[in-house]
Amino acid sequence: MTELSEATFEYINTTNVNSDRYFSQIIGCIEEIIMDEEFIHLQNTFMEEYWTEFDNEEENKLIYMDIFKKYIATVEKFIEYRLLQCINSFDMKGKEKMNLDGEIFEILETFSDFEAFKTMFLDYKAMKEGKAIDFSKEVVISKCSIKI
Amino acid sequence: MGFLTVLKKMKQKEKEMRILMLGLDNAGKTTILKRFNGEPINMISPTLGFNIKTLEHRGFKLNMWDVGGQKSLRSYWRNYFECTDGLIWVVDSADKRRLEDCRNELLVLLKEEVKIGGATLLIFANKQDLPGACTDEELCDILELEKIKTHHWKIIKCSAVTGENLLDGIDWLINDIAARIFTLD
Repeated sequence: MTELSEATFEYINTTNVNSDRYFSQIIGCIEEIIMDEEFIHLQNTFMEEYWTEFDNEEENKLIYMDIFKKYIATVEKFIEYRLLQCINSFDMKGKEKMNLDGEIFEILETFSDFEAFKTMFLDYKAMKEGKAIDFSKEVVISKCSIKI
Repeated sequence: MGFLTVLKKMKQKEKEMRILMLGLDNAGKTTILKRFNGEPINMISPTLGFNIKTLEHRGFKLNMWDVGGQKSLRSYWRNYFECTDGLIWVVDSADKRRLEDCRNELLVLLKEEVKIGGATLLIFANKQDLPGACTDEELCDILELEKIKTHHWKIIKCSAVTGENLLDGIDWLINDIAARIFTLD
């Protein structure tokens, strides 16, 4: 690796510092928003309203799609609203392409992923019906031979 | 389109495509999907909702959506248009009585879909294994495919039961979508 001179370093620093700072500010905001109790409450309220519609079948009911669209809209509205409070003049639809790596984007992506959405509801349903306890990690069933 | 969809599109790896499979009921949409996925096809009942399967082919990840085709369900089709790269219209080539219905539904569908995307259109002339099935040329006439100017399209005869030409169809679809979308970047 070549060594960066102090001058080069200085240059990199001054050109990128603004957009980098802006970017990490946004990431920081989004992280805060989705970890916020209010957001978790929003998700739970949403699941509480619709979980009875879901069944653990391979074929999806048409109503899932309506609920899914409503979910995306709800989550988006909340995040956008809170982001606007965080950062003035925030525009997600701006032309500038961001580097979309990192865990936060994985999480954001699952909000608009149907399979993840369905799994979330089926987990919630299992929890509501008291089937969520997974004994497979605690109890090991093994073959037992008895000599008589 | 909200920002989560925008994010998804930006993030979407080049080799991922969303395919929507539609057509009249009993055309064989779910059978095609299960055939691709290597699942048994002898016990398929009419789809009342929708199925999703992910297929890996030629290094592409295809998210295939199959929505029920009964008359009462068709008004829901438009709920699935967003972000669709490829449309597969499945035809029961042996059900001559309903080909006119089939043509009309396709026409309505394309008119609606073009407003949102103008996806690549593959027409599967399915059930070629049945006696009396229309050929692809015959279907091209009856369905008036030549009139379609809003979408890239191709008709391919196939059989979900024997598996004939299913992959050829998918290959054409992938190539057209890739040429249409990914070269633009």
